[in-house]
Amino acid sequence: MSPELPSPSSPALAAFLRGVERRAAVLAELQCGDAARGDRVLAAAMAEFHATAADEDPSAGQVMAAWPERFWGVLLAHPELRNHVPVRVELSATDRLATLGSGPRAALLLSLAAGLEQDAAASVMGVPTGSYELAVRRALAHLAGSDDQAALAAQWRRLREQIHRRIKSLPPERQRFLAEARAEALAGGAVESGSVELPPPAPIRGRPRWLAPLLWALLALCVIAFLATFLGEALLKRLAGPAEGEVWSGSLADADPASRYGRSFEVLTHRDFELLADPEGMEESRALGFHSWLAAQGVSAAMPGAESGVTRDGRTPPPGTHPVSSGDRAGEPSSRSGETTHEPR
Amino acid sequence: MSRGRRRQWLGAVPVLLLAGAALAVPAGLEEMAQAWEKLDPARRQQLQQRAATWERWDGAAQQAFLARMTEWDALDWKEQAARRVRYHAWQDLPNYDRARVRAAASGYAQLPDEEREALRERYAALDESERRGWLLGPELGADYPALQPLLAQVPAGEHEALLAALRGLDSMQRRDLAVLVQRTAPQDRDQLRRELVSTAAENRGQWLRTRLGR
Repeated sequence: MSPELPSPSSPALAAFLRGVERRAAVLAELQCGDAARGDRVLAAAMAEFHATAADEDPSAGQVMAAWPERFWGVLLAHPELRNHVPVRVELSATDRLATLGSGPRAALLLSLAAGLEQDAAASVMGVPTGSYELAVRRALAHLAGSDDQAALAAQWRRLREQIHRRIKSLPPERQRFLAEARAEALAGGAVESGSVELPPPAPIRGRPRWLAPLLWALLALCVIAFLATFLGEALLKRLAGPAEGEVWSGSLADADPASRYGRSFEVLTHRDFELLADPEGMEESRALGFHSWLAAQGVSAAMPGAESGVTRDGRTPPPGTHPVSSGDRAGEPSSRSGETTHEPR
Repeated sequence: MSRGRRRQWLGAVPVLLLAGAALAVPAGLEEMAQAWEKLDPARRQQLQQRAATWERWDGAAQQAFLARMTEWDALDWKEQAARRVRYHAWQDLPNYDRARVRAAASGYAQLPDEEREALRERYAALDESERRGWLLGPELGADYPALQPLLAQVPAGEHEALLAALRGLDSMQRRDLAVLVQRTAPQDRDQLRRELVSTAAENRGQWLRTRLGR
């Protein structure tokens, strides 16, 4: 129990950690979006896991069988893995993971990176298998921007392929760092060394007690957000008050239009507030891929003033030459399906 | 919860304090007063900025926002996602690329119908990854297929620096870099990317020549 007492590390424990290390590194990296942070967390998790495993009777068969779930639970319990660093432009399929909430992201990664079966993954998250399955489906649908079976399967394959490639090609210096961290964890003390800053090992029995409620809450949030996509419009209509000529008897009927209470909450917490607050930017980005491609094909406005705009600040197109005409919008549709697979949040 | 973990959380306290006025719940968000302090500092800051923007607008601007919001909420996920991606990509474009994109858009609008149609068809025939590449703008978009191996699996935190480095190269240099990328084994591409990003902009040309000469 006491972390001060270095325990002789069992070969089984060493083998387990070595076997799980690369997968864990990739899971932690993708969960928080930062390889260095992920590796630090993993180093700390290995130390914690060792501290708890050292308590147990290694000869009991079921102890070892429980290691994987325990280990992933300890790793995911780290608060540093809860937030993903923001991603501006998505360069690969895994970047899109940033658009998921931390619970659904963990659900996907437990399967794709950790390689756990559904039952085991559900148990790490402390939810029934059905809920886990649902969370994975939702996450995939979210990423694929569609919930048809083929799109989900394609999204799954794409992610799996990228994640596996990442596991296989973990850079050598990260491998060295992790091997060192593992050796320290197994030596029992594992507090600090070199650049590895480890928090004091916290004795944890199984999954931390607060992990399950947290993950449940995240799952619940996803469901609420999902439902809100259906209810949003109805709710907004209500908050916006009756249309002209229409009378509502509800309590909001007497709210004057400038009243902010309730409505402004919905506005300020709108996921896409920044986009909606910048209609010009939205308009200009509407057919971005197509227009970039056109520019590279040499399509350009031959009009006075365009040249100087192009070469210098470029933020002032001549008035009346607003770039996106309705014709342009029609120009993007076939690209839409492609670009769509990008994101969702 | 263990003491160790609590200590970890206490470590976040200075950050919370640094967030300054963070503790005041902005007008309009009173409903979340209870949860306010538990929010991520970055999220709090974002909400504060939004509240300030909202307050700054007059009634007409607020109404216009609400109209856009209603319209947006009626779009399906797919469309929302696509627009979001394009918007962020646009935000990240340097002014020079933006101007080229604008000029292309107006040039296109002036073309006869059949030419526009032909261009649309050609673009639609590109594969998805190539079209995604064009979101990086006319400059990088052209080199995206060749540079793609370098751009895959980039840790999120390094995107900005990498894109800035690529945008700092001229088209010849990017072509050289593409050659280098093709010659580099997958497991060494991380190293190549790191060198590219960490080399000072003015030395990148020299760095490329040296690397190619090896």
